Amino acid sequence: MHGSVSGNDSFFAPIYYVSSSLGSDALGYLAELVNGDERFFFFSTAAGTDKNYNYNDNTVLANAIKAGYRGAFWDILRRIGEGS
Amino acid sequence: MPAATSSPQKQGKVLLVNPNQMKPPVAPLALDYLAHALKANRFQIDILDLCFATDISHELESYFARNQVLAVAVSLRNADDSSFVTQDFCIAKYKEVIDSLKAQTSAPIILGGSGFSIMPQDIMSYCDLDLGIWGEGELSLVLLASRIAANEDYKDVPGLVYRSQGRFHANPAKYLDLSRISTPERSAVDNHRYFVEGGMGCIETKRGCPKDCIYCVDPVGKGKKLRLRSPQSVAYELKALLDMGIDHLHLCDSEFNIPEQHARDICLEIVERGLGEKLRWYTYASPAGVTQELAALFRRAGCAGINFGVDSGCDHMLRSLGRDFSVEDLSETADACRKEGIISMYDLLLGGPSETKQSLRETIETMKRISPNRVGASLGVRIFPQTKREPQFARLRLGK
Repeated sequence: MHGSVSGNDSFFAPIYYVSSSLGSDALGYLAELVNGDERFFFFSTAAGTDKNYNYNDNTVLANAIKAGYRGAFWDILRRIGEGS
Repeated sequence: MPAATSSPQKQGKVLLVNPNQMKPPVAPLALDYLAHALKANRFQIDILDLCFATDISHELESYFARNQVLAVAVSLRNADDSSFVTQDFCIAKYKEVIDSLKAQTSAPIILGGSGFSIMPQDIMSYCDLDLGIWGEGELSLVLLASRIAANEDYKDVPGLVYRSQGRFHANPAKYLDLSRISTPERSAVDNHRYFVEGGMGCIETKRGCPKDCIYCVDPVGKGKKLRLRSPQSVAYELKALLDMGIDHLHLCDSEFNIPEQHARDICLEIVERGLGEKLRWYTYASPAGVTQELAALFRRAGCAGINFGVDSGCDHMLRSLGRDFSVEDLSETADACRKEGIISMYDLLLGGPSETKQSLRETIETMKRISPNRVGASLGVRIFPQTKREPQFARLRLGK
Protein backbone atom coordinates (compact mmCIF):
# COMPACT_ATOMS: atom_id res chain seq x y z
CA MET A 1 0.00 0.00 0.00
CA HIS A 2 1.19 3.52 -0.77
CA GLY A 3 -0.06 6.98 0.14
CA SER A 4 -2.18 7.63 3.23
CA VAL A 5 -1.73 4.20 4.74
CA SER A 6 -2.16 4.98 8.43
CA GLY A 7 -5.26 6.50 10.03
CA ASN A 8 -7.20 6.11 6.80
CA ASP A 9 -9.35 3.06 7.50
CA SER A 10 -12.10 4.05 5.08
CA PHE A 11 -9.67 4.78 2.19
CA PHE A 12 -10.86 8.40 2.25
CA ALA A 13 -7.47 9.97 1.50
CA PRO A 14 -5.53 8.75 -1.56
CA ILE A 15 -4.18 5.23 -1.03
CA TYR A 16 -2.83 2.95 -3.73
CA TYR A 17 -2.13 -0.71 -4.16
CA VAL A 18 0.96 -1.79 -6.08
CA SER A 19 1.73 -5.49 -6.19
CA SER A 20 4.77 -6.22 -4.03
CA SER A 21 5.96 -8.67 -6.71
CA LEU A 22 7.07 -5.64 -8.75
CA GLY A 23 9.74 -4.77 -6.18
CA SER A 24 10.63 -1.41 -4.71
CA ASP A 25 11.10 0.46 -8.00
CA ALA A 26 8.06 -0.52 -10.04
CA LEU A 27 8.04 2.78 -11.94
CA GLY A 28 11.69 2.29 -12.91
CA TYR A 29 10.97 -1.24 -14.09
CA LEU A 30 8.03 -0.01 -16.16
CA ALA A 31 10.19 2.69 -17.78
CA GLU A 32 12.82 0.06 -18.57
CA LEU A 33 10.20 -2.12 -20.31
CA VAL A 34 8.77 0.77 -22.32
CA ASN A 35 12.32 1.75 -23.27
CA GLY A 36 11.50 5.16 -24.68
CA ASP A 37 8.76 3.96 -27.04
CA GLU A 38 7.10 7.17 -28.23
CA ARG A 39 3.62 5.63 -28.20
CA PHE A 40 3.52 5.41 -24.40
CA PHE A 41 2.19 8.06 -22.01
CA PHE A 42 2.80 8.03 -18.26
CA PHE A 43 0.92 9.38 -15.29
CA SER A 44 3.87 11.60 -14.36
CA THR A 45 6.35 14.02 -15.87
CA ALA A 46 9.28 11.62 -15.38
CA ALA A 47 9.45 10.77 -19.11
CA GLY A 48 8.93 14.41 -20.17
CA THR A 49 6.03 16.82 -19.85
CA ASP A 50 4.65 15.91 -23.29
CA LYS A 51 4.41 12.28 -22.13
CA ASN A 52 2.44 13.13 -18.99
CA TYR A 53 -1.21 12.24 -19.41
CA ASN A 54 -2.29 13.23 -15.92
CA TYR A 55 -4.72 15.96 -16.97
CA ASN A 56 -4.68 17.64 -13.56
CA ASP A 57 -3.07 21.06 -14.00
CA ASN A 58 -1.33 19.96 -17.18
CA THR A 59 0.23 23.13 -18.59
CA VAL A 60 1.38 21.48 -21.83
CA LEU A 61 -2.23 20.66 -22.62
CA ALA A 62 -3.60 23.99 -21.43
CA ASN A 63 -1.12 25.87 -23.63
CA ALA A 64 -1.86 23.65 -26.64
CA ILE A 65 -5.59 24.32 -26.29
CA LYS A 66 -4.89 28.05 -26.05
CA ALA A 67 -2.95 27.69 -29.29
CA GLY A 68 -6.01 26.15 -30.96
CA TYR A 69 -5.78 22.40 -30.42
CA ARG A 70 -9.15 20.69 -29.92
CA GLY A 71 -10.24 17.20 -28.95
CA ALA A 72 -9.53 14.58 -26.30
CA PHE A 73 -6.58 15.45 -24.10
CA TRP A 74 -4.70 12.27 -24.99
CA ASP A 75 -5.19 12.93 -28.70
CA ILE A 76 -3.93 16.50 -28.34
CA LEU A 77 -0.80 15.12 -26.65
CA ARG A 78 -0.43 12.61 -29.50
CA ARG A 79 -0.63 15.36 -32.10
CA ILE A 80 1.86 17.51 -30.19
CA GLY A 81 4.24 14.54 -30.12
CA GLU A 82 3.85 14.00 -33.85
CA GLY A 83 4.19 17.72 -34.59
CA SER A 84 0.83 17.70 -36.36
CA MET B 1 -38.73 15.94 -15.45
CA PRO B 2 -41.33 15.02 -12.86
CA ALA B 3 -42.88 18.04 -11.15
CA ALA B 4 -42.09 18.14 -7.46
CA THR B 5 -45.08 20.28 -6.48
CA SER B 6 -48.23 21.57 -8.13
CA SER B 7 -47.64 25.23 -7.25
CA PRO B 8 -47.23 27.58 -10.23
CA GLN B 9 -45.20 29.99 -8.04
CA LYS B 10 -41.46 30.26 -8.22
CA GLN B 11 -40.06 28.10 -5.47
CA GLY B 12 -36.97 30.15 -4.64
CA LYS B 13 -33.42 30.32 -5.84
CA VAL B 14 -30.94 27.46 -5.72
CA LEU B 15 -27.27 28.28 -6.16
CA LEU B 16 -25.23 25.62 -7.97
CA VAL B 17 -21.50 25.77 -7.27
CA ASN B 18 -18.60 24.24 -9.18
CA PRO B 19 -15.50 24.34 -6.93
CA ASN B 20 -13.28 22.44 -9.36
CA GLN B 21 -10.31 24.48 -10.60
CA MET B 22 -8.41 21.80 -12.52
CA LYS B 23 -6.86 22.95 -15.78
CA PRO B 24 -7.44 22.30 -18.59
CA PRO B 25 -11.01 22.86 -17.50
CA VAL B 26 -13.75 20.28 -18.05
CA ALA B 27 -17.30 21.60 -18.25
CA PRO B 28 -19.40 20.68 -15.18
CA LEU B 29 -21.98 18.69 -17.11
CA ALA B 30 -23.85 17.74 -13.94
CA LEU B 31 -24.61 21.40 -13.18
CA ASP B 32 -26.15 21.90 -16.63
CA TYR B 33 -28.35 18.86 -16.12
CA LEU B 34 -29.28 19.90 -12.56
CA ALA B 35 -30.09 23.44 -13.70
CA HIS B 36 -32.42 22.03 -16.34
CA ALA B 37 -34.26 19.88 -13.79
CA LEU B 38 -34.57 22.71 -11.26
CA LYS B 39 -35.84 25.21 -13.83
CA ALA B 40 -38.38 22.67 -15.09
CA ASN B 41 -39.69 22.58 -11.52
CA ARG B 42 -39.98 26.37 -11.24
CA PHE B 43 -36.86 27.08 -9.25
CA GLN B 44 -34.68 30.03 -10.08
CA ILE B 45 -31.08 28.98 -10.41
CA ASP B 46 -27.73 30.70 -10.36
CA ILE B 47 -24.46 29.03 -11.18
CA LEU B 48 -21.29 30.09 -9.42
CA ASP B 49 -18.60 28.47 -11.52
CA LEU B 50 -15.35 28.93 -9.64
CA CYS B 51 -13.24 27.11 -12.22
CA PHE B 52 -12.01 30.37 -13.70
CA ALA B 53 -12.11 32.44 -10.49
CA THR B 54 -8.88 34.11 -9.41
CA ASP B 55 -10.18 35.15 -5.98
CA ILE B 56 -12.77 32.69 -4.71
CA SER B 57 -13.49 34.51 -1.44
CA HIS B 58 -14.16 37.73 -3.34
CA GLU B 59 -16.45 35.93 -5.82
CA LEU B 60 -18.49 34.44 -3.00
CA GLU B 61 -18.64 37.67 -1.01
CA SER B 62 -19.73 39.59 -4.09
CA TYR B 63 -22.42 37.04 -4.96
CA PHE B 64 -23.95 36.84 -1.49
CA ALA B 65 -23.91 40.63 -1.11
CA ARG B 66 -26.45 40.71 -3.95
CA ASN B 67 -28.39 37.49 -3.53
CA GLN B 68 -30.35 35.45 -1.05
CA VAL B 69 -30.75 31.77 -1.79
CA LEU B 70 -32.92 28.92 -0.63
CA ALA B 71 -30.11 26.38 -0.80
CA VAL B 72 -26.58 25.92 -2.12
CA ALA B 73 -25.69 22.74 -4.03
CA VAL B 74 -21.99 22.00 -4.48
CA SER B 75 -20.92 19.43 -7.07
CA LEU B 76 -17.73 17.51 -6.26
CA ARG B 77 -16.57 15.78 -9.42
CA ASN B 78 -13.23 14.34 -8.35
CA ALA B 79 -12.24 13.02 -4.94
CA ASP B 80 -8.60 13.05 -6.04
CA ASP B 81 -6.65 12.79 -9.28
CA SER B 82 -6.23 9.00 -8.98
CA SER B 83 -2.53 9.38 -9.70
CA PHE B 84 -0.14 7.19 -7.73
CA VAL B 85 2.61 9.72 -8.42
CA THR B 86 0.93 13.03 -7.52
CA GLN B 87 -1.86 11.88 -5.14
CA ASP B 88 -3.62 15.24 -5.37
CA PHE B 89 -6.44 15.22 -2.78
CA CYS B 90 -9.15 17.42 -4.33
CA ILE B 91 -11.46 17.23 -1.33
CA ALA B 92 -9.07 19.40 0.69
CA LYS B 93 -9.39 22.15 -1.95
CA TYR B 94 -13.17 21.79 -2.05
CA LYS B 95 -13.28 22.16 1.74
CA GLU B 96 -11.68 25.60 1.47
CA VAL B 97 -14.49 26.67 -0.86
CA ILE B 98 -17.11 25.14 1.43
CA ASP B 99 -15.67 26.94 4.45
CA SER B 100 -15.91 30.21 2.54
CA LEU B 101 -19.51 29.42 1.60
CA LYS B 102 -20.35 28.77 5.25
CA ALA B 103 -18.95 32.17 6.13
CA GLN B 104 -21.21 33.87 3.58
CA THR B 105 -24.58 32.16 3.93
CA SER B 106 -26.79 30.41 6.42
CA ALA B 107 -28.68 28.59 3.63
CA PRO B 108 -28.36 24.80 3.69
CA ILE B 109 -25.30 23.57 1.80
CA ILE B 110 -25.91 20.29 -0.05
CA LEU B 111 -23.03 18.23 -1.41
CA GLY B 112 -23.30 15.97 -4.44
CA GLY B 113 -21.49 14.80 -7.57
CA SER B 114 -19.63 11.73 -8.71
CA GLY B 115 -16.65 12.29 -6.42
CA PHE B 116 -18.92 12.85 -3.45
CA SER B 117 -20.97 9.72 -4.16
CA ILE B 118 -17.97 7.45 -3.65
CA MET B 119 -17.67 8.27 0.06
CA PRO B 120 -20.43 10.67 1.09
CA GLN B 121 -20.30 10.28 4.86
CA ASP B 122 -16.52 10.71 5.04
CA ILE B 123 -16.66 13.84 2.90
CA MET B 124 -19.55 15.33 4.91
CA SER B 125 -17.72 14.62 8.13
CA TYR B 126 -14.50 16.15 6.78
CA CYS B 127 -16.36 19.25 5.57
CA ASP B 128 -18.57 19.36 8.68
CA LEU B 129 -21.81 19.40 6.70
CA ASP B 130 -25.11 17.65 7.34
CA LEU B 131 -26.71 17.28 3.89
CA GLY B 132 -25.71 15.50 0.69
CA ILE B 133 -27.14 13.57 -2.22
CA TRP B 134 -25.34 10.49 -3.48
CA GLY B 135 -26.05 9.23 -6.98
CA GLU B 136 -27.66 11.52 -9.50
CA GLY B 137 -29.28 14.74 -8.37
CA GLU B 138 -31.94 15.68 -10.91
CA LEU B 139 -34.75 14.05 -9.00
CA SER B 140 -33.40 14.15 -5.44
CA LEU B 141 -32.15 17.74 -5.41
CA VAL B 142 -35.43 19.02 -6.85
CA LEU B 143 -37.39 17.14 -4.20
CA LEU B 144 -35.08 18.20 -1.37
CA ALA B 145 -35.19 21.86 -2.43
CA SER B 146 -38.99 21.69 -2.66
CA ARG B 147 -39.22 20.32 0.87
CA ILE B 148 -36.83 22.98 2.15
CA ALA B 149 -38.89 25.69 0.39
CA ALA B 150 -42.10 24.37 1.95
CA ASN B 151 -40.42 23.92 5.34
CA GLU B 152 -41.38 20.24 5.25
CA ASP B 153 -39.53 17.20 6.52
CA TYR B 154 -37.13 15.86 3.91
CA LYS B 155 -35.62 12.82 5.56
CA ASP B 156 -37.29 10.41 3.10
CA VAL B 157 -35.83 12.04 -0.04
CA PRO B 158 -34.22 9.31 -2.19
CA GLY B 159 -30.43 9.43 -2.24
CA LEU B 160 -30.34 11.85 0.70
CA VAL B 161 -27.40 11.53 3.09
CA TYR B 162 -27.98 13.40 6.32
CA ARG B 163 -26.65 13.64 9.82
CA SER B 164 -29.03 13.30 12.70
CA GLN B 165 -28.06 13.09 16.36
CA GLY B 166 -24.43 12.71 15.39
CA ARG B 167 -24.99 9.77 13.04
CA PHE B 168 -25.10 9.64 9.25
CA HIS B 169 -28.01 8.09 7.40
CA ALA B 170 -28.07 7.36 3.66
CA ASN B 171 -31.35 6.75 1.84
CA PRO B 172 -31.40 4.41 -1.17
CA ALA B 173 -31.03 6.29 -4.45
CA LYS B 174 -33.84 6.44 -6.98
CA TYR B 175 -32.54 6.42 -10.52
CA LEU B 176 -34.14 8.39 -13.32
CA ASP B 177 -35.66 6.80 -16.38
CA LEU B 178 -33.42 8.65 -18.83
CA SER B 179 -35.53 7.63 -21.82
CA ARG B 180 -38.28 9.95 -20.54
CA ILE B 181 -36.39 13.11 -19.56
CA SER B 182 -36.69 16.23 -21.66
CA THR B 183 -33.59 17.32 -23.56
CA PRO B 184 -31.32 19.50 -21.40
CA GLU B 185 -30.87 23.02 -22.78
CA ARG B 186 -27.16 23.20 -21.90
CA SER B 187 -27.49 26.94 -21.39
CA ALA B 188 -26.69 27.28 -17.67
CA VAL B 189 -22.96 26.60 -17.88
CA ASP B 190 -20.67 28.70 -20.08
CA ASN B 191 -19.99 25.78 -22.38
CA HIS B 192 -18.38 27.90 -25.05
CA ARG B 193 -15.71 29.13 -22.64
CA TYR B 194 -15.03 25.56 -21.55
CA PHE B 195 -14.67 24.62 -25.20
CA VAL B 196 -12.22 27.44 -25.90
CA GLU B 197 -10.13 26.80 -22.78
CA GLY B 198 -10.73 23.05 -22.41
CA GLY B 199 -10.69 21.96 -26.03
CA MET B 200 -13.94 19.99 -26.08
CA GLY B 201 -17.52 19.80 -24.89
CA CYS B 202 -19.22 16.87 -23.22
CA ILE B 203 -22.47 14.94 -23.25
CA GLU B 204 -23.96 11.75 -21.80
CA THR B 205 -25.92 9.18 -23.80
CA LYS B 206 -26.66 6.90 -20.84
CA ARG B 207 -25.83 6.19 -17.20
CA GLY B 208 -24.95 3.07 -15.25
CA CYS B 209 -22.52 0.23 -15.84
CA PRO B 210 -23.22 -3.49 -15.36
CA LYS B 211 -19.54 -4.52 -15.33
CA ASP B 212 -17.61 -5.91 -12.34
CA CYS B 213 -14.20 -4.26 -12.64
CA ILE B 214 -12.73 -4.58 -9.15
CA TYR B 215 -11.50 -0.99 -8.79
CA CYS B 216 -14.20 1.06 -10.50
CA VAL B 217 -16.45 3.60 -8.78
CA ASP B 218 -18.77 4.31 -11.72
CA PRO B 219 -21.43 1.76 -10.66
CA VAL B 220 -21.33 3.20 -7.12
CA GLY B 221 -22.71 6.58 -8.13
CA LYS B 222 -24.59 5.73 -11.32
CA GLY B 223 -25.90 2.26 -10.53
CA LYS B 224 -25.29 -1.06 -12.25
CA LYS B 225 -28.40 -0.92 -14.38
CA LEU B 226 -27.94 0.69 -17.79
CA ARG B 227 -30.34 3.58 -18.33
CA LEU B 228 -30.41 4.81 -21.90
CA ARG B 229 -31.31 8.18 -23.35
CA SER B 230 -33.27 8.27 -26.57
CA PRO B 231 -31.08 8.82 -29.65
CA GLN B 232 -33.37 11.68 -30.68
CA SER B 233 -32.79 13.50 -27.40
CA VAL B 234 -29.02 13.01 -27.65
CA ALA B 235 -29.05 14.34 -31.21
CA TYR B 236 -31.03 17.44 -30.16
CA GLU B 237 -28.48 18.12 -27.46
CA LEU B 238 -25.58 17.62 -29.86
CA LYS B 239 -27.20 20.09 -32.25
CA ALA B 240 -27.60 22.61 -29.41
CA LEU B 241 -23.89 22.30 -28.62
CA LEU B 242 -22.98 22.62 -32.31
CA ASP B 243 -25.04 25.81 -32.46
CA MET B 244 -22.81 27.16 -29.66
CA GLY B 245 -19.77 26.44 -31.86
CA ILE B 246 -18.82 23.31 -29.93
CA ASP B 247 -17.83 20.76 -32.54
CA HIS B 248 -15.35 18.63 -30.57
CA LEU B 249 -16.95 16.53 -27.85
CA HIS B 250 -16.35 13.77 -25.37
CA LEU B 251 -19.15 11.26 -24.79
CA CYS B 252 -18.93 10.71 -21.05
CA ASP B 253 -20.54 7.28 -20.84
CA SER B 254 -18.59 4.67 -18.88
CA GLU B 255 -18.28 2.64 -22.09
CA PHE B 256 -20.11 3.94 -25.16
CA ASN B 257 -20.52 0.54 -26.86
CA ILE B 258 -22.21 -1.11 -23.86
CA PRO B 259 -24.85 -1.95 -24.96
CA GLU B 260 -23.76 -2.06 -28.57
CA GLN B 261 -27.25 -1.58 -30.04
CA HIS B 262 -27.68 1.74 -28.20
CA ALA B 263 -24.33 2.96 -29.55
CA ARG B 264 -25.47 1.96 -33.03
CA ASP B 265 -28.80 3.75 -32.58
CA ILE B 266 -27.07 6.94 -31.42
CA CYS B 267 -24.68 6.85 -34.37
CA LEU B 268 -27.46 6.19 -36.88
CA GLU B 269 -29.43 9.14 -35.52
CA ILE B 270 -26.39 11.39 -35.81
CA VAL B 271 -25.81 10.25 -39.40
CA GLU B 272 -29.50 10.59 -40.26
CA ARG B 273 -29.46 14.23 -39.12
CA GLY B 274 -26.30 15.02 -41.05
CA LEU B 275 -24.34 15.82 -37.87
CA GLY B 276 -21.58 13.27 -38.39
CA GLU B 277 -19.64 15.49 -40.79
CA LYS B 278 -19.84 18.47 -38.45
CA LEU B 279 -18.78 16.74 -35.24
CA ARG B 280 -15.56 15.18 -34.04
CA TRP B 281 -16.19 13.15 -30.91
CA TYR B 282 -14.21 10.92 -28.61
CA THR B 283 -15.39 8.39 -26.11
CA TYR B 284 -14.50 5.59 -23.70
CA ALA B 285 -15.39 2.12 -24.96
CA SER B 286 -14.99 -1.55 -24.22
CA PRO B 287 -12.40 -3.26 -26.44
CA ALA B 288 -14.66 -6.28 -26.84
CA GLY B 289 -16.74 -6.65 -30.01
CA VAL B 290 -15.47 -3.64 -31.95
CA THR B 291 -15.62 -4.97 -35.50
CA GLN B 292 -14.52 -3.06 -38.56
CA GLU B 293 -18.19 -2.60 -39.49
CA LEU B 294 -18.97 -1.03 -36.10
CA ALA B 295 -15.86 1.17 -36.27
CA ALA B 296 -17.00 2.33 -39.72
CA LEU B 297 -20.38 3.35 -38.31
CA PHE B 298 -18.69 5.24 -35.45
CA ARG B 299 -16.52 6.99 -38.01
CA ARG B 300 -19.51 8.02 -40.16
CA ALA B 301 -21.11 9.49 -37.04
CA GLY B 302 -18.06 11.68 -36.38
CA CYS B 303 -15.95 9.53 -34.07
CA ALA B 304 -12.35 10.75 -34.12
CA GLY B 305 -10.85 8.61 -31.38
CA ILE B 306 -11.60 6.07 -28.69
CA ASN B 307 -10.01 5.58 -25.29
CA PHE B 308 -10.24 1.90 -24.42
CA GLY B 309 -9.81 1.07 -20.74
CA VAL B 310 -7.98 -2.18 -21.44
CA ASP B 311 -6.04 -2.26 -18.14
CA SER B 312 -3.66 -5.08 -19.11
CA GLY B 313 -2.26 -7.04 -22.02
CA CYS B 314 -2.10 -10.27 -20.06
CA ASP B 315 -5.10 -12.60 -19.84
CA HIS B 316 -4.60 -13.66 -16.23
CA MET B 317 -4.38 -10.00 -15.14
CA LEU B 318 -7.56 -9.15 -17.06
CA ARG B 319 -9.35 -11.86 -15.08
CA SER B 320 -7.80 -10.63 -11.83
CA LEU B 321 -9.12 -7.11 -12.50
CA GLY B 322 -12.61 -8.40 -13.28
CA ARG B 323 -12.51 -7.66 -17.00
CA ASP B 324 -14.62 -9.67 -19.42
CA PHE B 325 -12.47 -9.57 -22.56
CA SER B 326 -9.22 -11.14 -23.70
CA VAL B 327 -5.93 -10.09 -25.29
CA GLU B 328 -7.29 -11.40 -28.60
CA ASP B 329 -10.11 -8.83 -28.39
CA LEU B 330 -7.54 -6.06 -27.89
CA SER B 331 -5.78 -7.04 -31.08
CA GLU B 332 -8.95 -7.22 -33.19
CA THR B 333 -10.20 -3.87 -31.89
CA ALA B 334 -6.92 -2.10 -32.64
CA ASP B 335 -7.01 -3.52 -36.17
CA ALA B 336 -10.64 -2.42 -36.72
CA CYS B 337 -9.87 1.14 -35.55
CA ARG B 338 -6.73 1.36 -37.64
CA LYS B 339 -8.55 0.26 -40.80
CA GLU B 340 -11.30 2.83 -40.27
CA GLY B 341 -9.03 5.72 -39.31
CA ILE B 342 -10.18 5.97 -35.70
CA ILE B 343 -7.35 6.95 -33.38
CA SER B 344 -7.09 4.49 -30.48
CA MET B 345 -5.72 4.94 -26.99
CA TYR B 346 -5.26 1.90 -24.75
CA ASP B 347 -5.30 2.76 -21.06
CA LEU B 348 -3.40 0.41 -18.76
CA LEU B 349 -3.91 0.01 -15.03
CA LEU B 350 -0.74 -1.67 -13.85
CA GLY B 351 0.40 -3.12 -10.55
CA GLY B 352 -2.93 -4.55 -9.39
CA PRO B 353 -3.51 -7.77 -7.48
CA SER B 354 -1.53 -10.70 -8.98
CA GLU B 355 0.69 -8.42 -11.10
CA THR B 356 4.22 -9.76 -11.44
CA LYS B 357 7.29 -8.58 -13.32
CA GLN B 358 6.48 -11.26 -15.90
CA SER B 359 2.86 -10.12 -16.40
CA LEU B 360 3.98 -6.50 -16.64
CA ARG B 361 6.56 -7.44 -19.27
CA GLU B 362 3.92 -9.43 -21.16
CA THR B 363 1.54 -6.43 -21.11
CA ILE B 364 4.09 -3.97 -22.47
CA GLU B 365 5.20 -6.43 -25.16
CA THR B 366 1.54 -7.01 -26.11
CA MET B 367 0.93 -3.28 -26.44
CA LYS B 368 4.00 -2.84 -28.63
CA ARG B 369 2.84 -5.72 -30.85
CA ILE B 370 -0.82 -4.66 -31.09
CA SER B 371 0.26 -1.06 -31.57
CA PRO B 372 -2.71 1.17 -30.81
CA ASN B 373 -1.91 4.82 -31.59
CA ARG B 374 -1.15 5.54 -27.94
CA VAL B 375 -0.85 3.61 -24.67
CA GLY B 376 -1.42 5.19 -21.28
CA ALA B 377 0.68 3.42 -18.65
CA SER B 378 -0.70 4.13 -15.18
CA LEU B 379 0.84 2.31 -12.25
CA GLY B 380 -0.97 1.81 -8.92
CA VAL B 381 -4.62 1.08 -8.21
CA ARG B 382 -6.44 3.74 -6.17
CA ILE B 383 -8.47 1.88 -3.57
CA PHE B 384 -11.88 3.46 -3.23
CA PRO B 385 -14.56 2.57 -0.72
CA GLN B 386 -17.57 0.61 -1.97
CA THR B 387 -15.65 -0.96 -4.86
CA LYS B 388 -15.77 -4.68 -5.41
CA ARG B 389 -12.36 -5.48 -3.91
CA GLU B 390 -12.36 -2.94 -1.07
CA PRO B 391 -12.73 -5.63 1.61
CA GLN B 392 -9.80 -7.56 0.14
CA PHE B 393 -7.61 -4.45 0.14
CA ALA B 394 -8.62 -3.73 3.73
CA ARG B 395 -7.44 -7.19 4.78
CA LEU B 396 -4.21 -6.76 2.82
CA ARG B 397 -3.46 -3.55 4.68
CA LEU B 398 -3.94 -5.28 7.98
CA GLY B 399 -1.58 -8.04 6.84
CA LYS B 400 -4.28 -10.73 6.94
